[in-house]
Formats: sequence, structure tokens, C-alpha cells
Amino acid sequence: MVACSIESGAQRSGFYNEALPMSLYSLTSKLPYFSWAPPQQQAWRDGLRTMSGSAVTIFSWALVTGLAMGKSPLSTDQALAMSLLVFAGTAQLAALPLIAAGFSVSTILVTAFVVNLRFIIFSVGVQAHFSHLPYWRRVLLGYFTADFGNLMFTNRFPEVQTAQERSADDYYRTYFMYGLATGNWTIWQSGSILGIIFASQIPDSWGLEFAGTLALIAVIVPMLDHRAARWAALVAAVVAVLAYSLPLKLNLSLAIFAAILVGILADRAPKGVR
Amino acid sequence: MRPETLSSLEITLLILGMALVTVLTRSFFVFLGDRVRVPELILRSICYAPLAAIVGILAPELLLPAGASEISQLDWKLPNIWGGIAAFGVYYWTRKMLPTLLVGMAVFSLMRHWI
Repeated sequence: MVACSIESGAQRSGFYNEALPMSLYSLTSKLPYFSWAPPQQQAWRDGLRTMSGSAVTIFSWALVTGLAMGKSPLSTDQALAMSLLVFAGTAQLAALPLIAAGFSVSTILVTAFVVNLRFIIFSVGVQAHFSHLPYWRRVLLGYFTADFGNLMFTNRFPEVQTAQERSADDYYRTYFMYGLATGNWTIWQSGSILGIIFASQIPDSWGLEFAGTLALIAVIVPMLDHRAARWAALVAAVVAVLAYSLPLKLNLSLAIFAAILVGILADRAPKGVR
Repeated sequence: MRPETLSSLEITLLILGMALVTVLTRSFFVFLGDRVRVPELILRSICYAPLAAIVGILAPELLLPAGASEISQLDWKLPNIWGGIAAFGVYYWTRKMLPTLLVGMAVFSLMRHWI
């Protein structure tokens, strides 16, 4: 099925390139998507489509974050700048009450760092999977790879490829990740910006925050299709709740460490258990 | 009301700083580069980390009251627990987003007004 769609993708983009006037072609051929080989364009679209499958969840979660920012002491411009530049929902939500309470910039930055600790663990994967990319492109890809991008990438490709395997499949996974990142950023910013703009019109009594929480169920349940994942999720849930009284959302980092331990144990267990 | 508020310059610095924190954390091992060799076992077992992160965000929101600070505030009468269970059930059977949100919110709202 995959080979089949790569072929049709090649034909389609070939058609478009020939149909374009020469000057326009030389212009577009320098742009990211247009300068890629057909299998890479196909991979990018695959990533975008995969991310779009969870569009409602990401949009709801972003909308709730945007609403919280719109209702905070931040001005609309400041909230928009934060959404567009920081691009880290949990850190933004953690910063809002501290901004309201007048904590110092350095205190809030330390808080944001600790809340973001999980991304350090994810960055091990970014480095391992994309070590063939130039340094700054890898850094940029890391910046655009948030929770949902990591979730969908590791769910689809848990194992790291060797250098030969990568060039053999035309770096499919790299362009797939570009597609995931494009989708994640676009959907997230749409929801977040709408939330910031309409925050004043939406009363707290609607309980929209809870709808955003419920939407996360839709990305979690499909991942629980094998035993090790169910154990990892259960352990993460229990640890995250038990350690909730810890400051700086450290319960989140603890939950991830616990899940990694479960992953190691599952890895060592006989194949049947995985 | 507030002891002191951040000036708009400080807010600007904060936003730029937080953007840097995002880059620094998300590309942490990229910055370390080849200097650090991560063992194969760790590489394989971190594949559940993103799932754990989302579950870790979700679980306390479903099981503890809004603005809770500790586990002792867990209470079976909380509307979010029942709304969450209902939503889980509906999503598990239908795999559809809209009924999940509608049923979850309906149960949540009913429990909130009755108990």
C-alpha cells in the first residue's frame, strides 16, 4: 500500500512541475516542499495526515490553553507572542499564575525549565533518529517537536534506524517528522490564538477546561493496543497522581521515569509478554 | 491587589527566555551531540515516555479537583472522575471524538449540579 501511494505521488508532483511556467518552477523548486523528491513529499503528507487525525484533540487542548492566557494579566499581544514563540502549553500554563502573582522573571524561567524536563528525555530520540541532519536543522526540528509529535513518531517508529536503512528508504522518517511538526504547530497555534482572542467572551462556568482534558483520552486510548504500553500508561497515571503534591509539575517527570523503567522491564521480559 | 506586577519589558524578556527554554530542553541531547552515547536499552525503552507524559498530564486532571495540591483531595464524589470514566467508555466503544466529548461533558455537568 505504501509503495503504491509513493508511485502515485511521484506521478502527481511530476505533472505539476512540468505544468508550471519555467520562472515559477525555478522559484518554487527552491522552497522546502517543492525541492524535495516525490517519496519525501509523500512522507511529509503522511506525517501531516497522521497529525491531522488528532486535530480535534490538539485543537481543544490548545483552545483551553489560549483561553487561560487570554484571561491572564497578559495583554492580547503578549499572549499571542507567548503562544507563537514559546510553543509549550504546559510551561505556559505553569507560568500564568506566577506572572499574576508577580514572581521574578528568573523564578518563572526556572519553573518553565523544570516543567519542560520531559522534553530533555524526548531529545534523546531526536538526536538518535535524526543524527544525519545538519546540526541547526536538528535543533530546529527539536524545537518544533512537542508532546504530540513525539507521541506519534515513537508510536509509529519505536526503533532507531541505522545510517544505511535511512538512505535506503530516502529518509522517509525525517520527512514524516517534518509533516508531524507542521501539523502540530499549525493546529496548536490555530486553537491557541482563537482561545486568546475569544477568552473575554467565554464564561468560566462552561467548564471548557474539562472538555480539553477529555479530548486527550482520544490520543491515549489508541496507543494502549499492547500490554507493555498499557502497563507504562497505568504506572504513569498512578505516579502522576500520587506525586501531585510535588512542586513544578515534577510529578510529570517522575511518571515518565517510572514508565521508562516499565519499558526496560518489558524489554527484558520474554517476547510473549511484550 | 498583587504585590508587584511585571513591567512590559520584563514580560518581553520572560517570553524570549521561555522560548529559549523550549529550544534548550527540546534539543538538549542535540546540543550535547555525539559527545554522549545513549545506550541501546535506554533508546528502546524511552518509546513510552511521550505516552507517559500525556497520561501524566491527564490523570491528575481527571482524578483530583481543579486547583488541588495533593492526593488527599481525591474524592469519589468528584464530577471529573465520573465524566472521565464515561468519556473513556464511550471512546473505547465508538472511537469517535464527538460522542466522547458530549457524553463526558454531560455526565460531568450532571454530577456537578446534583452532588
